[in-house]
Amino acid sequence: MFSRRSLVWLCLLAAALSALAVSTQLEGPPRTNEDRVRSLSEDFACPTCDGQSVAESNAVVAEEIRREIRRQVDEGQTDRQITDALVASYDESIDLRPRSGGVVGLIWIVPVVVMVFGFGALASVFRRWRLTEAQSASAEDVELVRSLREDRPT
Amino acid sequence: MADRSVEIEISDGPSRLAFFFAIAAGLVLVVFIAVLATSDGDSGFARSPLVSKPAPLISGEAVDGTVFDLDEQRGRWVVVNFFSTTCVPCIQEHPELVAFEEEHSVVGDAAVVSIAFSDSSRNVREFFAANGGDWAVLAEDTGRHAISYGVAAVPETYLVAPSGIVTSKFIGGVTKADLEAEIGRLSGSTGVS
Repeated sequence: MFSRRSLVWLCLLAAALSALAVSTQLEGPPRTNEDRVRSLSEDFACPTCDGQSVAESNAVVAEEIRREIRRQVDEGQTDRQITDALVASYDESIDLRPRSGGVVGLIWIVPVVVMVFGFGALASVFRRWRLTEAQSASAEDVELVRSLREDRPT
Repeated sequence: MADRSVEIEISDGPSRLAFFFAIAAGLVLVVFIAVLATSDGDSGFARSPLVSKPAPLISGEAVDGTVFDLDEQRGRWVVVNFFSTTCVPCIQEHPELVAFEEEHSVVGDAAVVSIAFSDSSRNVREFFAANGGDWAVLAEDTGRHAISYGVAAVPETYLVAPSGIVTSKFIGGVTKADLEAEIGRLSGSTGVS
């Protein structure tokens, strides 16, 4: 059904996609509560600052949000619960991570699509190069060069 | 001649491929520009996702020692005011809240609760002693209340309907006229109660 070369390409593509999928899952939850508070604080925008995260800002509201994250982490809330609570209060603009749904979800999909098309393009180009090599080595070409060399005055 | 035609066909393939990929890259670029152009940016903080939703719980000990619970205020409008004793707009709006509360406490159709944001009980007591106001004021452990209401910078005021639903958010100093106009609009035109 598939040629040997096609199978090699398919295996390469599968390996690349698997590596991408595994890499997104490798970062498990931070171990300590302090790690979780720091990690979560970096994921939220300071509501009164320009381009700073809650972790970076010294604004009063950023300090209060950090304290609230700490309180919720200590209470045993999950990262998802803490994120949902803050988004429910401040709206999605506080969440610095791109959401997985809606138009913003394209940020996750587009790189994968581009990579697949990239592999397809490489396979196509390599295939054309192989065809080109086969056509350039015709017997007529060899004969033409030979006759021209023989006719050339020394 | 036959060889030349072969050369043209070979060189035409990759250029056509490049053309298609240029179009694909262009489409991706257009999509990203469209996403960026239609995003809300930082202006989203001016609105509140709490409007039309049940008001987050507020309960705790007020600075006068009484216990306040927002749920016990069902049946009347509640003005939830986040403030700080050191913020100038908060000081400026305070007489408006005093006037609003004095008028509506007589009728009993509306109440005010103030929540100090990053302040101390002592400062709050002194502030109310100096500027008037006789309503529940929470000052200890209030960060969680401020965060649950999405407070970014004081003063911020939320209007809660008698049903317990948040109807409006005011950013900056609020006036008695603002509050009464909003209550009148919501009571009259939409029948919120």
